Amino acid sequence: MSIKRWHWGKIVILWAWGGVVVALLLTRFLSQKAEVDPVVSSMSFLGSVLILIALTIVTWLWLGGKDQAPTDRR
Amino acid sequence: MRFSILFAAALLIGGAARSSGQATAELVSPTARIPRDTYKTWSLFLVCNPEWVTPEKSADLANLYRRFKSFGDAIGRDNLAVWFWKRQAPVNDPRLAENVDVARSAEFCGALRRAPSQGPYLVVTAAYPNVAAFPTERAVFELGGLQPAYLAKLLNTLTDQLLLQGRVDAAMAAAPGSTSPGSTQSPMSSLWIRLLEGTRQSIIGFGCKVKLQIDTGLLTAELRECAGQ
Repeated sequence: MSIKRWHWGKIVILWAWGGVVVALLLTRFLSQKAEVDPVVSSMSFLGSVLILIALTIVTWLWLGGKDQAPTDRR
Repeated sequence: MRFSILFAAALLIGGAARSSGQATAELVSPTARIPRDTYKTWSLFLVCNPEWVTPEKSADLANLYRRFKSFGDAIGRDNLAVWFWKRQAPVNDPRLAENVDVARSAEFCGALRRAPSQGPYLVVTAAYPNVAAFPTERAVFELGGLQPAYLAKLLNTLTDQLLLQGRVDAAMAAAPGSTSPGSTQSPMSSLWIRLLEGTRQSIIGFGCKVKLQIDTGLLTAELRECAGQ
């Protein structure tokens, strides 16, 4: 299945769930000092960053080539 | 019901006192001397963070004091736990926080070169804790950012070490909340933790500087800057 066939709604759903997970991870990351539990803090922070990067890549690929007006589709 | 017990009767004005059979000293005067006696170790609870004596932190402070009492009871008579008060007062005083001698603790934090904002601290030393020449052999534990469960775990482990070995092991230096100079953390690990903590502080600081106001006509919501940051 080509990613270019994804509907806008799927991207919205993806970002919504991703946003919830990132919010939870960041809340966990901000709630206590890093030295208390460095492993959990690292995983929380890196996890939130990786999820945002992954969502950005997916969105970028989906939008790739669609930033110009469609040509003649007869 | 430790908080229902008056400790004032057990203390001498301007001096320190030990509850009978317990290794705790609650100093109630800025000039009261820490008991020297024949103790093997001294464990100082330093509340030098002014935020910790605000009403918002009263529950945390009361919890820390309860931990101090339990810790002092458990480490045995050869080891002394020390807490600084300003004056004699019942421990169930609703303004207990105001009675903490922050200035006395701050002297020690200054001598230890520790930022008050990262406190309270627990300092364990095997030599007499003279604020003018604090022993270099010491272990400093930051208690400010510790969750109650971690605090309990840390104090339990320290109790085991002090009671059974009469000292704090070098391995304890790697415990959560510890900032002992003898830390066994690798430099890379330490750098990574500092980066993480810096990132965390930056995010918190950014969030506190943003003032968001939503006015819908019927309802107005406003997020203000964080107090005490």
